[in-house]
Amino acid sequence: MFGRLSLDAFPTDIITIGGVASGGAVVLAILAFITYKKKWRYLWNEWFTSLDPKKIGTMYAIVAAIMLLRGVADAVMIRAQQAVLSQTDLNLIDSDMFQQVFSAHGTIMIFFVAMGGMFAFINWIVPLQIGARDVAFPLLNSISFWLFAGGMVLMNLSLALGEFSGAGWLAYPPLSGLEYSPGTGVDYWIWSLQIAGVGSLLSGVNFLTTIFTMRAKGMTLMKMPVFTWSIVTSMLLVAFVFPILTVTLTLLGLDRLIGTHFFTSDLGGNPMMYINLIWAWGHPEVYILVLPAFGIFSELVPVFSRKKLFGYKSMVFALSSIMLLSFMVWLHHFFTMGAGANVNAFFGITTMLIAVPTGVKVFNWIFTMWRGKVKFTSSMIWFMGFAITFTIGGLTGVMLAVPGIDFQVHNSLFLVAHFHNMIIGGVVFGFFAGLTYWWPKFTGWKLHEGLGKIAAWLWIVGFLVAFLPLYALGFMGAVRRLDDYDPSFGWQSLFIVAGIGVMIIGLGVVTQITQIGYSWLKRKQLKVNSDPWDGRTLEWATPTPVPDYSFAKLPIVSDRDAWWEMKHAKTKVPTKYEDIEIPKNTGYGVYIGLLSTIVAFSIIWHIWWLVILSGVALVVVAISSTLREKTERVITAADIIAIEGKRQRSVL
Amino acid sequence: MTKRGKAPWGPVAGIVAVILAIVVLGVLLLSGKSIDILQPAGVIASQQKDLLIFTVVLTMFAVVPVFILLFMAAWKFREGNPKKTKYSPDDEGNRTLELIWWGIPLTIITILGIVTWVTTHQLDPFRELDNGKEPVRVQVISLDWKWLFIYPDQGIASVNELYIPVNRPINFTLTADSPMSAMWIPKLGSQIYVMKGMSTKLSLMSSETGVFKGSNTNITGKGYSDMYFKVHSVNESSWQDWIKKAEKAEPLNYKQYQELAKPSRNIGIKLFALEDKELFDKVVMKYVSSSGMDHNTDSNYEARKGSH
Repeated sequence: MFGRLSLDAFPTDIITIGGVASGGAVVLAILAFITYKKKWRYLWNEWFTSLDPKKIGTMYAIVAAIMLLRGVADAVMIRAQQAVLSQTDLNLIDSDMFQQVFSAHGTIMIFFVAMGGMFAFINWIVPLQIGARDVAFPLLNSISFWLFAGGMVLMNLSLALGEFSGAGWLAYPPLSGLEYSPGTGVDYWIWSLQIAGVGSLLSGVNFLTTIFTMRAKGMTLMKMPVFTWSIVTSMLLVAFVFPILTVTLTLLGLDRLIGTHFFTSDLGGNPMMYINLIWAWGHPEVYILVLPAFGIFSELVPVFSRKKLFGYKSMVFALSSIMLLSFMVWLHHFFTMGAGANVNAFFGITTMLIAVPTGVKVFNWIFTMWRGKVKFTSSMIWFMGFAITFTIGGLTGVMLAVPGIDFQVHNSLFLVAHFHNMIIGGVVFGFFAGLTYWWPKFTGWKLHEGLGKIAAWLWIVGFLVAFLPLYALGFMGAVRRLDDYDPSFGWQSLFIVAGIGVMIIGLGVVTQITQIGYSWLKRKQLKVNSDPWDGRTLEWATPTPVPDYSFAKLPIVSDRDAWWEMKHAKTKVPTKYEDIEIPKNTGYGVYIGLLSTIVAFSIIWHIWWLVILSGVALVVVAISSTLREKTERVITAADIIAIEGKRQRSVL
Repeated sequence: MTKRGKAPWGPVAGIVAVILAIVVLGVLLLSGKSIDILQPAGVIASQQKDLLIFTVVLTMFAVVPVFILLFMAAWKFREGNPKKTKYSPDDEGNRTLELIWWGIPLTIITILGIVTWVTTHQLDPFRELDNGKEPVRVQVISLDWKWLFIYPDQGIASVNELYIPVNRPINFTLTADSPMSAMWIPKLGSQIYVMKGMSTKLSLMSSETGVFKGSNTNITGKGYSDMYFKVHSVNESSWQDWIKKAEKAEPLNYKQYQELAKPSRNIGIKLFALEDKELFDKVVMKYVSSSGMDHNTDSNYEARKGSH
């Protein structure tokens, strides 16, 4: 009846039970609070069923923020084990659990924190920057989010029911095959990523279409803000590489479910094929995440330097060449597999070529500051932290790109330090800078600057303390993913320093939570107008908080810094409005996300009748979602005048 | 403009403090410890160290200007700098300047690209080292969770301990009877992935006597961390003594191998007299043959399943 699902699926060790209990308690408390406040109807009507990209963006951000907390908790456990626990007799975290913890850390940080954060920014900013009221396929956008949320729920369900994969964040076979991982962990990994991945692919298509077809009048491609350009390149990568992920996960799933031999070591299967495929997706994935971060910095450096972006064309060309090159470098993740010198040298050189456009971007940001008036808000502190750590990461990246060096440091902690340099220093710092920058646009109040600066410094210093020792440990022969090591190697002191670094980062996270809470309490004092930073792009042309329809009148663009020009040309406030049609809310996104999650869950536990039942329901619901008759709702001109009158406007 | 020296000193002092702290802490933490990659004891590792230093120095031609310009821009053009600086808000770019910074990294990468091409061929793990002395053949099998080293010419084998004569090329042939693993001896250089049903090659040579660490760098399940092993680089006569010791140890044939290959942790060092000279080939071939899983893999499966 319930496939593999039985009472054995519940955890028995103290740490997992603790995790489940505390996580469950928080979830229950929130649910109880919502029920007590009678907010379910409000949440359903205003948020869950909303097709407004601004609200969908906020939901992405909330999921990503919660997952960040879990990812950081995993990181704390990893370092606690390496710095202290492994060198004592306490067997609090055994090898099995340790491997689940680092697999969870990597998977959750990439798929749910970084991807979620990125889609939050895309949903919030892209439609506004191009002067559009919504996206090309509003319902599809909601479906994407709920698939993402379903994947997240499923991934976290493995904590309470079954186990997490212990095969690392990319689950290389044969370790992830049935022979070595017979439990449900790898299945959870495959099927939660499968549904979240499909969501990402649909989002990619959606935003490409949005950007290519819905730009404001006059906004040619070369007049698009650089953030939107970065999203074009990132979403092109999504559209091209996420299908590879989908296929790869399906094949691995088939190997595990029905005994095919795509990636097994015997009967003609080949695990090297998996490693090629997963990196053909996985390397571009890194750029999918970091290109938007480049875009964010390209927006806020000009604003806080009060100067135009230096070398717009170079920036666009650099983004595009990074995008193209990123397709051609995947093999550098396994130089040591023995492909031969010609192949390795080719991929080594294509890899180091990426340093050229990336270097150009850094120079252009610096020269945007040059002859400007640079205001060091907390966003700019994040930028400075990024510029420093990312350059260090670029240097170690070029080292790793040389196969002769890679043969010595591959899979050591040197590699771990390098990619954290890129992901934390690049992606995470970029997202925090962007969050501080765009926050007042959606709330009407600024985040407290003082606390923001403290948080930024804690993260920057914490990052250096946490990861510089790892470079040294890599040179000393320490490999990644160790739950134990010989005390005579003399590594413990460095692991302890790295652990202190993680704690400093943890303090940074606490400061950020405090910052948001404190700013919310003081929101009256921190209240700002709709254009608090003296912005340059169209998102700042909207009233604050941004109304459902975003733009009362669609803007007409004549310049790259469209809003800057409008402000200086003293464009007149429109007095006559017309009725606006915007997408009507619908629950189909939630239904499709929920049903997909049930399908995936029943595949994981081999509950075949439920697979069929929910699968059929999914198809029926998906088809009926296309048959909706009324998909738009009208906001009348009279309503608009009433709303516009109440909002704060700066110039228009 | 009037707030004299307010904002900028904080960040600058912070950065200087961070750099100082890193240097002091680094020296304190690293002194007296073995930094294997920077203190190589083998010909490959030495070349790799030189290549590493060359790359770092070369990239400094881009990194140093970036840091200097970044801090100069931040310092000089900060809002409220009491010194009057130029302000050109509509400056959109400068073709000459931009060509320069397309050119700098491109030049560096061109040089590094050529060096990469040459060194990747020089350091190809498949290229057998030759110093005129007779190479030693070692067959390596990665197991759950230990290393088996077979010396086919000496007729011995060892587990979790590698003895090699100094200044003689060691030609490894490697495979796995476990999930994908990788063997790495940082003091000697280059690691290489090993997989079931496939054999790969690696050629290393030690130039100093001593005891080095070797490891598995790719996760293979719960006993992965136990796969650190000791590499003894010794002179010829000590090596011969060790071989003699092993010759007297218990025999290793395919049956005993199957027993050894079962998942186990921390089994320590073992020595064997090699009875089955074809052992390595048999282990590789058992995944290539059409029969698929053999009994050993089945028992592997049971052992793993039991642990969950």
